[in-house]
Amino acid sequence: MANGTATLEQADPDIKAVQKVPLVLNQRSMSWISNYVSSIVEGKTPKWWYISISITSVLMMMCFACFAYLISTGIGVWGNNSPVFWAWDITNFVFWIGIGHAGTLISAILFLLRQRWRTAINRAAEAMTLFAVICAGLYPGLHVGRVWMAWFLAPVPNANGIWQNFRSPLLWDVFAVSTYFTVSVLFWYTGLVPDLATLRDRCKTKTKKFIYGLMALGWRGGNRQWRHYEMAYLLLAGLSTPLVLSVHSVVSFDFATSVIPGWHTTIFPPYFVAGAIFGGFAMVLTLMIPATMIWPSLRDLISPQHVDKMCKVILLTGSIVGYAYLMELFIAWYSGNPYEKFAFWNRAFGSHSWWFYWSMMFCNVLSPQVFWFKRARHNLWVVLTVCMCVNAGMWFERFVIIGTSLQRDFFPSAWRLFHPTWVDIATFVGTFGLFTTLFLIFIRFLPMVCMFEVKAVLPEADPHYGEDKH
Amino acid sequence: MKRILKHAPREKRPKMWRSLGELENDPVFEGLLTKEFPEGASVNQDGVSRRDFMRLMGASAALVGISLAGCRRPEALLVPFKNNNEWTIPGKFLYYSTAMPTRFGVMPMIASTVDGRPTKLEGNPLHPESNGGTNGFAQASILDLYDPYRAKKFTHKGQGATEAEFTAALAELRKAHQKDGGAGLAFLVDRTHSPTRDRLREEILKQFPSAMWTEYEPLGGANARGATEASFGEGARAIPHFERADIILSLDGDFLNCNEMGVGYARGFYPRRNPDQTGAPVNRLYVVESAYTLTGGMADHRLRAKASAIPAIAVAFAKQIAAKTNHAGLTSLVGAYPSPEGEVDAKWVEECANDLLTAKSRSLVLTRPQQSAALLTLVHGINEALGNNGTVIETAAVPVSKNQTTIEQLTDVLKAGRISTLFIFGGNPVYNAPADLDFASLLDSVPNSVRLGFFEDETSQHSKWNVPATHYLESWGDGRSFEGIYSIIQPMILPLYSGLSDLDILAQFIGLSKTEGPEHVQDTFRQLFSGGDFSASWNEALRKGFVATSAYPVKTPAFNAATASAIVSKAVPLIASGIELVFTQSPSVDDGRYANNSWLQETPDFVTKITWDNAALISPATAKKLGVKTDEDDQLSPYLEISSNGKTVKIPAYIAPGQADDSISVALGYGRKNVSHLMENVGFDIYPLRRSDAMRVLPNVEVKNVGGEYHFAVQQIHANMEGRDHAREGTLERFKSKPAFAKTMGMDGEPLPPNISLYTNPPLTAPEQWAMTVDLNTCTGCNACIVACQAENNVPVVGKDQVIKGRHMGWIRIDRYFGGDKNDPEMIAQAIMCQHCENAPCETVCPVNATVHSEEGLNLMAYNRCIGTKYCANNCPWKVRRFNFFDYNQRPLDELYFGPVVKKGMADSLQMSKNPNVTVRMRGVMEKCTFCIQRIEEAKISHLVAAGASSRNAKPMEEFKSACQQACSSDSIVFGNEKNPNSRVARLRNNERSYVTLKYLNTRPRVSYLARIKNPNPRMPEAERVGHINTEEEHEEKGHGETGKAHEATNAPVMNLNGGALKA
Amino acid sequence: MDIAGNTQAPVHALAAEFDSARSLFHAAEKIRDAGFRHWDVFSPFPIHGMDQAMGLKRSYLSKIVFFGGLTGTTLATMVTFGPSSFIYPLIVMGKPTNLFTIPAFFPIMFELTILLSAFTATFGMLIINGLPRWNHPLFNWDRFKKVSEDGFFMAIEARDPAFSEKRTRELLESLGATNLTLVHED
Repeated sequence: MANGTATLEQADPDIKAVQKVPLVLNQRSMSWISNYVSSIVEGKTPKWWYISISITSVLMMMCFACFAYLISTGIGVWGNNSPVFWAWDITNFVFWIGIGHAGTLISAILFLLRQRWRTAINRAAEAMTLFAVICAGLYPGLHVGRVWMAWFLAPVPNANGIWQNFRSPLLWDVFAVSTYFTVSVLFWYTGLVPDLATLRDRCKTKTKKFIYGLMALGWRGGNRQWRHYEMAYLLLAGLSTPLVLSVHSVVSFDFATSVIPGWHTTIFPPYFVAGAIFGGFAMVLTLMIPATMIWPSLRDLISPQHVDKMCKVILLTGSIVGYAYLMELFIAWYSGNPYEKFAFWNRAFGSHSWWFYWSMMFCNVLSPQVFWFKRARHNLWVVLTVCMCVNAGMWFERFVIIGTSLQRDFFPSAWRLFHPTWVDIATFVGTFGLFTTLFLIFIRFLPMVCMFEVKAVLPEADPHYGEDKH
Repeated sequence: MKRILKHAPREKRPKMWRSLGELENDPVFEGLLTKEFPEGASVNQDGVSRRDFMRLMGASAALVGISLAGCRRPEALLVPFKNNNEWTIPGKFLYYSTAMPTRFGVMPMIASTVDGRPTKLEGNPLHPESNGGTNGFAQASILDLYDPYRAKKFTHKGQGATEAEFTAALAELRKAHQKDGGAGLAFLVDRTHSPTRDRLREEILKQFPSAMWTEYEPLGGANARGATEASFGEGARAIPHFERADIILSLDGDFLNCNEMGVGYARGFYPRRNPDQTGAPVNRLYVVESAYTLTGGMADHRLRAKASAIPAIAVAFAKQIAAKTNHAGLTSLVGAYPSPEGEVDAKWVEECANDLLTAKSRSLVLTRPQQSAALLTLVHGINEALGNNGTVIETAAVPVSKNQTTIEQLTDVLKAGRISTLFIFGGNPVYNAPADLDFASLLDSVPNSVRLGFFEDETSQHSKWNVPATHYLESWGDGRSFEGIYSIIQPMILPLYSGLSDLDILAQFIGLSKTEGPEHVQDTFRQLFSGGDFSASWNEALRKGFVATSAYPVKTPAFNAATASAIVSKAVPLIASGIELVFTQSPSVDDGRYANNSWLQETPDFVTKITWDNAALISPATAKKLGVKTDEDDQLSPYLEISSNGKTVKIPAYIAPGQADDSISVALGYGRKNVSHLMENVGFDIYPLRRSDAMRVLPNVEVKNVGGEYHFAVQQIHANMEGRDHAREGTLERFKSKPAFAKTMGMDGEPLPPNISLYTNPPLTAPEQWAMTVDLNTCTGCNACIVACQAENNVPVVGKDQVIKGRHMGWIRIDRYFGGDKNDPEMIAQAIMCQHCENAPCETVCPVNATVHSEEGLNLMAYNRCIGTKYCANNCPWKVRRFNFFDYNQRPLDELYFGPVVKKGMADSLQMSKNPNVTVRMRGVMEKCTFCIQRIEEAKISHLVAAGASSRNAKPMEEFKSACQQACSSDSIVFGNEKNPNSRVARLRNNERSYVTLKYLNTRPRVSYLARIKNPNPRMPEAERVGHINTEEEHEEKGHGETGKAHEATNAPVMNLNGGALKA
Repeated sequence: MDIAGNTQAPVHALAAEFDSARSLFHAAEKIRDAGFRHWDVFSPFPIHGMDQAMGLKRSYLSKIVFFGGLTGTTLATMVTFGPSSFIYPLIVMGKPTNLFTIPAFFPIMFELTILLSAFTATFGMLIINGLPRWNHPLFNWDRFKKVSEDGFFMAIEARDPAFSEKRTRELLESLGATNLTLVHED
């Protein structure tokens, strides 16, 4: 270890700045990385996998059943009412889309920032992103009153030659979310190709060879390919970075451009983006920490310093979110607009809604503060608990914004509370089933760590490894 | 169209195509076309066949029917349009005059019919007692016509029977009673004010001298008749003229409630309410009442008092006035009145009395017709002393109806078992007769009971013969209005189901033949208006809808103190101690007769906004006393057990502000069982506690809070305006000093300057720019507009469960706010419909352009483009958009959640009731008020047609009304083209009192409101509170935080943020 | 010397293995200087600075992507302004239909720009690399499988004018290459 670092520093002094300890522990070799990561895919399917997927897929089915009921019977099977026309449906949409930000962020922004530690987690994070966006996409798609007419949202004229209203934030959403999903898929798959080649080259049976061979697109790892590949990857990263920031901004426009007190706020775009990164990182950790517990050797790749760094990101974004909460309150008071004042007063103290507000405050603002302490950042259980809090807290935040603002807006005569029905609850729980099912399938059949990128950060990957400076 | 012919097959149905064939080359018809009235009409009196009559009238209908005025609905048009009739334009309405019988006299109506079926009713603006307004009941009566639960078949002892069998049985009975001269014969009927029925009744009493004739109305004004006759002589009916009254005192009377008193009073009252009126001063209204009523809401000074204390208060007034006028008659009355108990707010009474005395012979004191004869008489005495009789009050001479008996007298005879044949026309005595009479068992004991009923209801279940009754739009009839103006009830459609009218049965019973046509009515008409050309005057009456000259002769009343004090001395003193129970009329189901009308069931109560229910209304103080705690947000309430001599009723409590302490009011007419699926589990029946000696108030009942949780379906949960000044009011003096005070109230002055838009909005260029104003000064919140809108725009009913969830579909809602002290608050009503903002927030958020703006300033809603994202509704600050969460039109209300597993579809008869010019919306689309765009388009088309080749702006468009405006008897809603500076709406939009809600959002609504002006008497106690429902002065300093806390602190339904400040 | 693939078929390239990224890197420099044109090095991961070592210029993919993005922007401008201002203008919240309404269209313009750029980047890269490709002569060489694990290879194609089976082999051996193999077409 020690000499590993030494040589590394000689090799490339500017790396010294970013890292003290090597990213991959125990001087693992390239072939060990390939063998170990691939073995998870190639080995015999463990029992726990069968058990957990059977549970999650039941939940997934429940989700689909609820949507079938919803479409066949009407939005009324949910608790939505007047004035709370949007309730859990859009809350869950924003919740999931928020989670779906970590992956692309890690792979894109950290890539541009030359954060080499990202290599161990970006694959899983990106996968998570895709599955979260799938869950998110279900809601706006299916919460409309006439799902069979949802194609009106596509930019084609209808029978009477009427087009879409391109001024509607909801239509921006359609473009933003679908773009985000497509680009994430491209980005993710591009990253997968060299590792698929690895699997192709390793696997024994003909069928596997055929499937992985098909997916690997005949990748050879020639430098003339790497050259364009790296450029493509860089470009995708460069494109995804503004995209990932835009998506949640656009989602926040749904609220920011409206007139409803508590929605009509210019702070929303940065606030939502920070929240998304916050929640996304928490979700990544919630998934990766159990993974490292199942496959202990993964800790050589996803080492304490990875967790540590992510905890710091959570702490930072969490504090940004907390600042946003306070700033909202301040502006509400400073604006002198009684409607605004009341909206926020009602969030914090209004009957039935204070509960959400203060859970949100605790989960999102207070609980991450423990990450100021190194010992907390290095205790996986503490980290896991805080991440769970944050996941819950982010859901509360979305409900506080959407639900409580609508429950009591301009006309007291129209005020009414929202109560979820069993369908609301079952659908939401079901989306977790869908999410975890997809994730289980992913870790079973695809390498959950980006092997070629990890290899690239090994000391011996450097063409001048062990040379004197020249 | 085939569906129209739902009625039983009829022999000798006219074959229209054949008749037309005949008509085409019929010289007589050629003649008809040139004349306004066919001679045929008179010819047919000389034994021309019915069918010819129809044909000829049909022809004249063709000539006059298209205009507002109509003629007898030609039966020919009831045949499906296999071959179209040249005089009807498909899809175009034909308007005919008719009238609706009510217990306070007929309401003159205009029925719109399309393709041979009536779809909408409006008041008859030509009628001197109407201003074209209607009440909710009249609007909803069209739904009764198409009610699939109507009684459809003749039954005898529960077995199905035919009309022929019934006619035979009727002949039998007639024979039987011809022998005993009618000794065992009795009739129990509801009140219809029909001269024809009176004529037939006299016939019957001639043929069967000892027969009994009883009229019973659970909410009737029998006492009023007695009292007036005692005061002013036989046959007198007191007719108040509100337009002549400067000061009005209402002792527990609800004269502004058009459901209770008809629309007649509005005509006089509201013009005097208008602060912009020239000449006469703004009138002042004092109200003493136990529960909030519409009249109480309008009052300048309202005194909460137990209903059992009303006599005491009346006597106190009488004393004051007698003393100050030393009027002998009144003094004698006061002396004669056995001293009543009850607490009296002496100061209030004194100051009010003084105010009345300042306006001698220009004031008016009145009370509720259901009050005791003694009290009513005393009130006449007070008016006499104030010199109002003859100036403000006139009496009309009503033909005296001899030998009528009360229901008590009838039941005595029934108990004696002397009655063998009892005819029951309408009403529902088994359900609504006083409980102590035990009518059900008495009815069972009658060997031959014949019930003519619209439903197979409680009474039918106890009757031997059941005859389905026709709707008033299905059979000929007539009636007199409150002031006696004669109207003909002409049918709009053949009976949908086999059925008879009371006139048919009476006529057959006295041996006349059953007639399809108006013969019986015509005989009456001939009798009443002898002389002149019959057919001309008959057609004139049909066209106008009434006979202008037929009002009862009016004479100056001569007050007879002697007879009056005789009545007064008979007053039965009420126990004022303890908790009292007051029986009130339900604004939704009246006395129970509309219990099966889903439109009305879903129309909220004026004051509590409860739908699909009645409740035991108690004041916050009484609630505390009884330990009643309610959950404001979820509207959960515990049950009360109300018992009085042996009988007990369990009914959930509801805290109603403005209710007198120790006074419970419960609306009648709910809790009906085993009649129809729709009525089941709707409300609670209070009739069991109603006794013939306590028809209005039952003093000193035992009340127990038995806990439990009952879920009310309340349309408006939050009653407090939170200092937001959506509904604005001020005092007359404030208005005089600063007429435009409303424009700068609350957030429209300080602290919020209006937003400024980044770009100039493209101008709306169409020659018509539609706009609406609502005058809060005259809007009582009577719900007529709600039901009218429902009828006009095919608004679906969603059912109690969905109302609880907050999914009612009404396009127009009436917000009711309380302000001031939470025990004794002020009430203000505000009608809210789509504001048609020029910068509509709902439009920009719709991703599919389903809601956009028209060049005429309308906020359009394209149902077939809507995919139901619900975003527009979220972004509507007024929350007036309505979403079809389920397929409300296609599914039974109790199967909404079953989705595809149950079959969908609408009852045929209900399909007939829909307005063909308005889309019936499907599940998953948004809808909202369209400003009655179908009427707008109709008007525009006819305008273009009229303009023809000439430029369309050559002459202005004909005036027309939106449905809500047309129904509004107080003329609060005005709709029109604001671009035309002479239009009323344009002038009202520029009125000083006019303001728009949420101005600071800069959405530029096309609906503006006119602030309410109160006219308090500064010398009255707590006068400083009047006209300050907004309290905007306070709320500028006070943030919402405190207010909200105050509002959390208590769980009574009314919290005024600044209540404390006001009281202190 | 080993032979891979179908010996009947013409020679595709002379392939050799190196023990580390470093040796491959230096070998590449030599080959570049030797003036070879049709050759390539293969590694499990992109080796830092290998492009210069092989004398390759910067990838031109970015230029293509720029035009991809431009297409996206244009498309978005057309799809937003076209209907809203020309084909079917409607009055929506009293907003103008002229240029002032453009802020409302920025989101869509942005998203479409990104979308089309991303498509060009991904598929452009594949096309330039001649992918997807089902098979390749080098795959006939079993050792070459290690390229996706920890193998470092170099292949000099027979079509290269400077290619001579003998001299090239000597050159490679001199650079420390092992397992020299003559890979035939299949």
